[in-house]
Amino acid sequence: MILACGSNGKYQLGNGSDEDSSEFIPCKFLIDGQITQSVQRPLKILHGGNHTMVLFENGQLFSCGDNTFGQCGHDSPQLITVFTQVPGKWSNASCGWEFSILVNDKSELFVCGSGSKGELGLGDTTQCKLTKIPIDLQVDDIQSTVQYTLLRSGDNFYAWGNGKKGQFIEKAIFQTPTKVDLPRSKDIKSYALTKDSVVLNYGSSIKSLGRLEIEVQGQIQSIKTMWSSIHYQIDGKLSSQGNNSHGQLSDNHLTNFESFETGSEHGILQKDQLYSWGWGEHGNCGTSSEPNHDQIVFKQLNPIYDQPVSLISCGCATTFIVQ
Amino acid sequence: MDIYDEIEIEDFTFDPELKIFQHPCPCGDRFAITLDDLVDGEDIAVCPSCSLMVKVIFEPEDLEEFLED
Repeated sequence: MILACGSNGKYQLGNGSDEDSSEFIPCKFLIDGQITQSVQRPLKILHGGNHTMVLFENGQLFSCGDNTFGQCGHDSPQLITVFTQVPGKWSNASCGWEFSILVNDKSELFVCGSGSKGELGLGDTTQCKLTKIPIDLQVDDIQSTVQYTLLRSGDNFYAWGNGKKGQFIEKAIFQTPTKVDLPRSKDIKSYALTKDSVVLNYGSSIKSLGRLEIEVQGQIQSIKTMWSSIHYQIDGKLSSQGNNSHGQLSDNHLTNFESFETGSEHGILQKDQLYSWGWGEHGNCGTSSEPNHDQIVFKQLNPIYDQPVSLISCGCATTFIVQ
Repeated sequence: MDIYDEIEIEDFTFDPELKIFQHPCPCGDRFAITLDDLVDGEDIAVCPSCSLMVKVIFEPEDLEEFLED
């Protein structure tokens, strides 16, 4: 079962309601004409501005939320209230503000939704139906953020969308997939995207390009991003750099945790149980039991869930967990 | 309340019908400020769905292309 809390004004939690929730509510799936909450552990959960996609290992992909521009991969309706299957067999996907990119089992790229800054890789356009990007690439990784996408194909990287903060090296909008010469691209172990920065993990260092430029040396275990901050596990400790207007930066030197995930401006840490931190105005950090807490800024780790989970995924003020 | 971020006006999208500038908010809605407010010297764009606010970075001459007559 998948549970979710947080911002839900466009049904992005997929529970049939458009009410925000600070408590975890089961996601609903429409399967064979029946609504069910019983699903296997997904491979990954992707988050747009107001839409959500769930990809399963068998290639099935479900979506819900705002479909005004077809960004859920469905022709209609405008709002998809429970997770509904997108026909096809998919191996990967990524979501941005009002668009989605789907990779099928032949490594072909399909896009849907809207983007005036090249987000679809097809120029300034809206595609209410899944449309193929005419490029032939092996897709090893694909990630999207608000207005752009970065794809890895072997040792090569391709970007499209709004890169005006310098995250594609050149400060430019790429209307179609364009090869970018990232520094020491062969040595990049993984990458993550803030709204305006590309963050590269070389294993023994981190370098970011764009609005938030950082350079860090050390043994890097993982990197994650919010829209305006970078978070990394270095030498076993959790560290953060960037915007701290709403408690987004984690408690430096935090150790003894299993993993962490980040959403637009909040994070979830897994240790003996799950804890949230950062901006939780929509219930995405749960509820603080501290007296006089504003339930908006969670500077301290807030216990949010005490049962075992197999997957955590965070979006725009949303938190999803898999039991 | 703290300002969440500072955003340059060129990163806002202008809606010529409503005469407002908008930019994505991390809650899923959009920060918005009217052209008239900017002309009056106001620079705080607010989100209708949450408490976050951003400061708009602009010069008065940046508004000229959006003003008619």
